[in-house]
Amino acid sequence: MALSMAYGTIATDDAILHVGASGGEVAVPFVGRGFPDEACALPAAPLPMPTQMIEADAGLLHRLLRRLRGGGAVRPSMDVGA
Amino acid sequence: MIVTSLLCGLGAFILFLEFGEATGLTWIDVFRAVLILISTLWLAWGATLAFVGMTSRARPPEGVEDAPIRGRTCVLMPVYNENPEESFSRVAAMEASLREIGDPAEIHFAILSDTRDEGIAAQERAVFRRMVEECDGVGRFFYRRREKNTGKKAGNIEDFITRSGAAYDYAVILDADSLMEGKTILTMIRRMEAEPQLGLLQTLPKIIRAESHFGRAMQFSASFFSPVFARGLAMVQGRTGPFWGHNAIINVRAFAQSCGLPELKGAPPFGGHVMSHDYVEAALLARNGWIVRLDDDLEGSFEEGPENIVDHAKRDRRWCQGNLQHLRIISAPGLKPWSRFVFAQGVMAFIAPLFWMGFIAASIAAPLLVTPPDYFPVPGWPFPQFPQSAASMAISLAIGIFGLLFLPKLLIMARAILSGEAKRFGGPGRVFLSTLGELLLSSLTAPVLMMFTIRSVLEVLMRRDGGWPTNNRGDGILQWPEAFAASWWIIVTGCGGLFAAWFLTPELFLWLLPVGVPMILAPALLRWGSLPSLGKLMITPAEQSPQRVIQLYDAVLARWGVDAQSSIPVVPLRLPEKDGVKV
Repeated sequence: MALSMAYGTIATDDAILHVGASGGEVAVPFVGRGFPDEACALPAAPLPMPTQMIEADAGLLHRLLRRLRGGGAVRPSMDVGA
Repeated sequence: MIVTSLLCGLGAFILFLEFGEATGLTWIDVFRAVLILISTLWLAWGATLAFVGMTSRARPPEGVEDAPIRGRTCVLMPVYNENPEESFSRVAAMEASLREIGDPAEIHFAILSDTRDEGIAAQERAVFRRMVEECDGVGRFFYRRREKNTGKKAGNIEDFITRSGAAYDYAVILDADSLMEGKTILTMIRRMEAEPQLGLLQTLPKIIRAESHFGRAMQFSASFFSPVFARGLAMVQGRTGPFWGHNAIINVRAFAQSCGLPELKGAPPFGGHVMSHDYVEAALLARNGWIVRLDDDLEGSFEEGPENIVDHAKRDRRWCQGNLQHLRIISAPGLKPWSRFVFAQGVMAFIAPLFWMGFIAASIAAPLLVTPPDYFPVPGWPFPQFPQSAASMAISLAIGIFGLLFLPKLLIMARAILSGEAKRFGGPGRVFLSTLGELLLSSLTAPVLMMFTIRSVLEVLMRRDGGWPTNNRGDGILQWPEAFAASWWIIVTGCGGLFAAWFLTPELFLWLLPVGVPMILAPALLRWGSLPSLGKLMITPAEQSPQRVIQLYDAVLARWGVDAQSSIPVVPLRLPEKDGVKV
C-alpha cells in the first residue's frame, strides 16, 4: 500500500461512505477521522504493516553451494592481517 | 506419516520395477516407476492424513467458552464485483445471530469493497444503507471502496489494517460467500484471548446451499469427509497450521507485524502480487513466532462452492497460479520447515496430475520408445519363451493405488455408520449410497478435472497470467454449447489417447477406458453436473436442520426480496427487537 505511514498521515484518493443517523450519505476523504466520534466512518487508527522479506536472494541450491564453499561464515571485507 | 508415505511410494516403485523386469527392464520402465513413486507418495500422504484424522479427536481448550471478552473485533468482508444483496445479507444474518445470543463483545462489521464495476458499486452503497438502517448499525457497520484494487484481497485487508487496524484487537476475515454463527465468532474471540500467542485461528467451513449434482457432491464431501482430513491436518501441522484466507480470525497486531506482503520481482504469473496470499501469511506468522491453529471442532462456519466443473476449474486455475508462485517463496529466509513443506504440498497438489498423465502417456508410447521383448531368443528353436507371469504384481499395484484412493472414504463411511454419526447425514442407508455415489462421481470427473489442472499448470509454466476473475456464484447451469466449448479439447485428447492405445498397446486398452471414456463424455459430465439435483442422496446436517445463522440468512434474503435459490425452506422467524429495530 502506498500509504505515507511514517508521518502518521494517510494519503489516498479513496473515500469512505459515511452513513449518518438520518440515512444521508456523504463521501468523505479518509484523513484524520477520529474514533469513535465519527460513528460510521472507519476508524482512523493506523497500524504499520512493514513489508516482509519473502524472496530469498538465491535459490536453495545456490545457498547450499555457497555454504559448502564458504562454510556460511562471514568473511572480512578487507585483509585484516595486512 | 512422511515415512509411511515414503514406504508406500517405494513399495509401488519396487513392485513396478519387478513388473517391468518380468518382460525385461528398460529405461521406460524405470521412468514409469519413478512417476508411480511420486504419484503414490502423494496419494499415500492424503490417505495417511485421513487415518490420523480418524484416530484422533479435537481437544477444544477448556474453560474459555464463557469467559468475558475484552478485545474489540471487526468482521471483514472483502467484496469484488459480487452481488451485494447476497453478500451483505450474510453480514446482516451474522449480526442478527450475534444479537440473538446477547453479543457480549464489541464487534464491528466492515465491507471492504474492491468492486471495479460502477453499477455494482452503486448497488453496494444502496444495499449498505438499507442494511445499516435495518440493523441499527450506525457506528458498527462500515463500508469503504478502494479506487485501485492494489494487491487484490491481501492488499484490501492490508489497506484496512494500515488505516484502522490499531482500533481492533481481532479481525474475522471472511469471503463474500462466508457465513458464520454468532456463537462461533464469540468462541473464536475467546480462544484468541485465552492464548495471547495465537496469531491466527482457522475454522473448517462447510459448503452450503449447493443445488447441482456436482455442487451437492462437493457439499457432501466437504461435510462428511473433509472434517476427518482436516482433523489429520490439524494434528500434523499443530502450531504451524493452515490459513485458507477466510472464515478465520487474526490477532491484528500479529498480522500487521508479520504479513506485509511485497510484490514479487518480475511479471505474473510468477512475479507480481502474491496470489495465494493465505499460505504465505500463515508461514509469515509462524516465522515470527505466532501460533497458527486449525480448530476443526468449531461448527457454524460456512461457505458456498462452485456449482459446476467449469467454475471449479476457473477457481483452480487461480489457485494453481498462486500455488506455483510459491516456488519463489519456498526458500524465503527463516520459514519453519513445516511452512516450506506446506508450500511444496500446495505445488504438488497441482503438478501431481502431470505425473499421472506422464505415466499413462509413457505406457501407451512404450512400444515406440523401446524394443519389445524377444519371445524367441534361441535361433531356430520353435517354442517361445514367455516371461514369468507379472499379472499378480500388476494387479497388486492397481489394488494398492485404488486402496489409497478409496479406502479412506470407505473407512470414514464405516465409522459414521458404526458411531451413529450417519444419522446427521440421512441415516446409514443414505450415507452408504451417498458415499458410493460420491466415489463414482469423483471417479468419473477425475480425468476431466485432471485435464483442466494440467492445462492450468502448462499455462502458468508458459507464463500466461490467469488474472483475477470474479467467482460465479449463480445457479451455474451449463448449456450444451458452453459445455462443448469448455471441453472439446478434452474429447480430442481422450479419443487420441484411446486410439493410440488401441494400435500401440492393445493390452492396455481396457485398463485405460476408465480414464478415456469420461474424457470423451466430458461435455455430458459438465452439463449433467451443473443441473439441479433432485435426488435424496448427499444430504448434509445443514440441510437436515439448518443452523440458526442459515435460517437468519434466508429470512434476510426473503425480506430483501432476493431469490435465495436454495432448497432450504425459509423458516418464519420471531426475532427480538433492539431499540425498536427489527432484526
